[in-house]
Amino acid sequence: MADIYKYRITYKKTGTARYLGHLDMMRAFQRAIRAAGLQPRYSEGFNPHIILSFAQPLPVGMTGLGELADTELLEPFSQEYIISELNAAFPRGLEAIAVRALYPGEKTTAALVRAAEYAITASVQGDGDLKQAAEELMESFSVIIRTEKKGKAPSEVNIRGHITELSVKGTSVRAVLSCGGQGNLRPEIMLSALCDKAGVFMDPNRTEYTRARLIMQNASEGIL
Amino acid sequence: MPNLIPHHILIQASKPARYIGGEPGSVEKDPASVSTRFCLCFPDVYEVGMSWTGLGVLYYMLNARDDVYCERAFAPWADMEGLMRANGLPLATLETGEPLARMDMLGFTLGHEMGYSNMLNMLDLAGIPLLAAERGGQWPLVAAGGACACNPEPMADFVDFFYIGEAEAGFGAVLDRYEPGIPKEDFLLAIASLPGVYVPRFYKPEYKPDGTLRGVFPIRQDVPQVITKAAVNNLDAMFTPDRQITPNVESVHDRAVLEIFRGCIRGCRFCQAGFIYRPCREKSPGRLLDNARKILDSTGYDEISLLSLSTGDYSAFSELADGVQGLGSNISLSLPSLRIDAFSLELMERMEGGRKQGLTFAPEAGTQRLRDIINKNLTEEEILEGCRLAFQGGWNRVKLYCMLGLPFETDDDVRGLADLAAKVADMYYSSIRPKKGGLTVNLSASCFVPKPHTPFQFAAQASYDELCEKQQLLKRSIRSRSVKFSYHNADTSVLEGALARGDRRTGTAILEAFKLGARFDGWSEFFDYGLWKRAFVNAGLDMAFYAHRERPYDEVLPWDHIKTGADKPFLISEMEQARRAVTTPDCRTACARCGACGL
Repeated sequence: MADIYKYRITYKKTGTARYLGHLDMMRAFQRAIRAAGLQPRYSEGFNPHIILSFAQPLPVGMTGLGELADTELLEPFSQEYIISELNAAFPRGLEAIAVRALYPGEKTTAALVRAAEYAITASVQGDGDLKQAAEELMESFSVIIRTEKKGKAPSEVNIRGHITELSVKGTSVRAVLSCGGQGNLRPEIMLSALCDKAGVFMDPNRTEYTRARLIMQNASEGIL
Repeated sequence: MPNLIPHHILIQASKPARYIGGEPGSVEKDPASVSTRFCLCFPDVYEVGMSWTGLGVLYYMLNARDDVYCERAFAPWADMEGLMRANGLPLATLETGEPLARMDMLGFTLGHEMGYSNMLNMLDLAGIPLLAAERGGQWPLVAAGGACACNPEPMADFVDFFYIGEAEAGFGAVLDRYEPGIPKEDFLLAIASLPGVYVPRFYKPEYKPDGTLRGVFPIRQDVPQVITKAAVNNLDAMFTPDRQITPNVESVHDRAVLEIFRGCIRGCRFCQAGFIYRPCREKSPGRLLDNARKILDSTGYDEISLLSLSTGDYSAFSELADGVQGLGSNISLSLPSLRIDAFSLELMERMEGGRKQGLTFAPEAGTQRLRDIINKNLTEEEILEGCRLAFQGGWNRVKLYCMLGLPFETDDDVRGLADLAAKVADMYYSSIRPKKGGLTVNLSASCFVPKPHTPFQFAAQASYDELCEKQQLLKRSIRSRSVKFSYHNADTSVLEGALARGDRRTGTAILEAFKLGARFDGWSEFFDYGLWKRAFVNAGLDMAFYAHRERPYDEVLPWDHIKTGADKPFLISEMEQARRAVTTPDCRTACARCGACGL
């Protein structure tokens, strides 16, 4: 069996690249890896594809400043080489900023991600005080939202446990929220609950979200 | 940095990555450094336009010049059009976000007639007057090319000049004549005699009392009476890009593409591409493999498709296929337009990694008589033998393409299609022991549309009712449970027929249809036949006059002043051969003296 070299790529998804959907991202990464000549490992089976996994898909329209992806290569390459060659082959706005080799047995980024820090520029109207609402929210034990899923009765969920940090300065909101397979709170749901609490109206189309970093189980991971 | 569409608009659009540009392979230039800003305009949505191979060729060819910046624009999808109109956002290029109205020249590609309304919509979204006569010097020059340019008359009112033929042959010479600030009329006159250039404003159609053409006549002495298409002689020597723009959104054909030859030796009498791209010219395998390696390396694609009208006719096919396979173990080759025989099956087995995808045959017609009429060089024995080999090799899905409404078609010919599909099914059950799952034969029927510059340009298109009857007859005739039948809407084909052989007056109906809201006519969810019928009525025109009328050989056709290859006497003789169900050999077997070589 050939040697396998696993790498974790930290990248930014900014500007126009934030409109690339998850499948577009998969294609862009796979093509860039091939165009960079990185000798990727392919999966077995009838439909071989490059082994590539993302920590957590970034919703369309959201900026990402410290996104993570893992891939497997059949040859070792220097970090500088991987970064420069990927960036030469990426669409505009996608930029690899760090690469490191994984140690043997290290879990994938998707398995390790626990939380994410978001920076939100909220477009709100109304007299309510977002800052005060955020403070109240952090002091309370429950933040109940109603969820409606297709074919299911509406249910009520307490999202408070998924909010680790929350602060407001003007219309800028910073939050650390659960992220990943073990629990995930989308920032727009948190913001909507916050705006409801403050009694302000939020324009979802003019509110901009940035995922500043992903926070891993091992705290040394993913911090810029 | 480009002048972006605002976030709050993009975030409301479906697939917003259609509108952002910045793809690997896209070209960034300083607009201030060039004298000509050119925008390639594709009258369909991004995923469709980005699949068109010619786009990349033109894009890189024009951008190879220091004096030109070539950018791109596509038709925004309906939701985005609504957002743009509601927010007063003009159509702009993907590269710099510059509104189209500020370009020097727009180049529309008209690949099929159903894109006509989208071209007008794109001009309108750009805030540019639709009629060439209403565009003064402050507006961009509007050019058009592509297969539809071989009958330029229906779109003549909207276009400043058509470029007919292959861009590599002479579009550079057109751009050479352009300089900033040159009066439109002067520029158009300067290019009017160049190969492939047709400037409609210098020609005037005259009609007879019965509505047929007397002719399309030059109104000046210094423009040619007949416009001859521009064509490349040596494909190995012409400009060929070594890379492609890899789309942000998965395109319809999202893979590397290798054009292996142009034209076709076959001469199927219904096939416009087979006539207007004559003569058949090949690229050498060495040049192709070098090109393929570079495209794969630069794009990172892992799939490559061979593009031509009939891949199996490529002279050095096995050498090329072996070579492509040698490009990498994870490179898959897709092989459209392939004749199915032992060799090609073995090749597919190798190239497609053991995946047994469906096999496609295009018998087009159901009986040998009708296949002889259309000069389709494929016999029932060949189809059944190909199927037998394929079934033994493990394939169990077959697609049969056919057309309804071909000239001289009888009910027996229609029923023959069902019989052919049944014979394919019988072959399956008699040649192998069926496993679970069994066989699927997809019989797919389109409606024949007579096209300019083909022998069938004289033929009457079957009416809407006739086409529907034929579809129902075929449906009733299918007995085998393995056969799945699907067919195209007849109304789309009738409109295509009326537009394809339209004259300059047809433009009025196209403009009417646009005003009534026609968009994306090639998409069944948008196509509105009733709207188009009203548009023709409003324009005082009869669709049947254009679509369903047999045209005598001595009638002047709206495209008679355009020479694309085969000359009219040859087309007439081919139509007569069809009437007698006599085939014409392919170009390699015997030259039929069509007139296309050495134009």
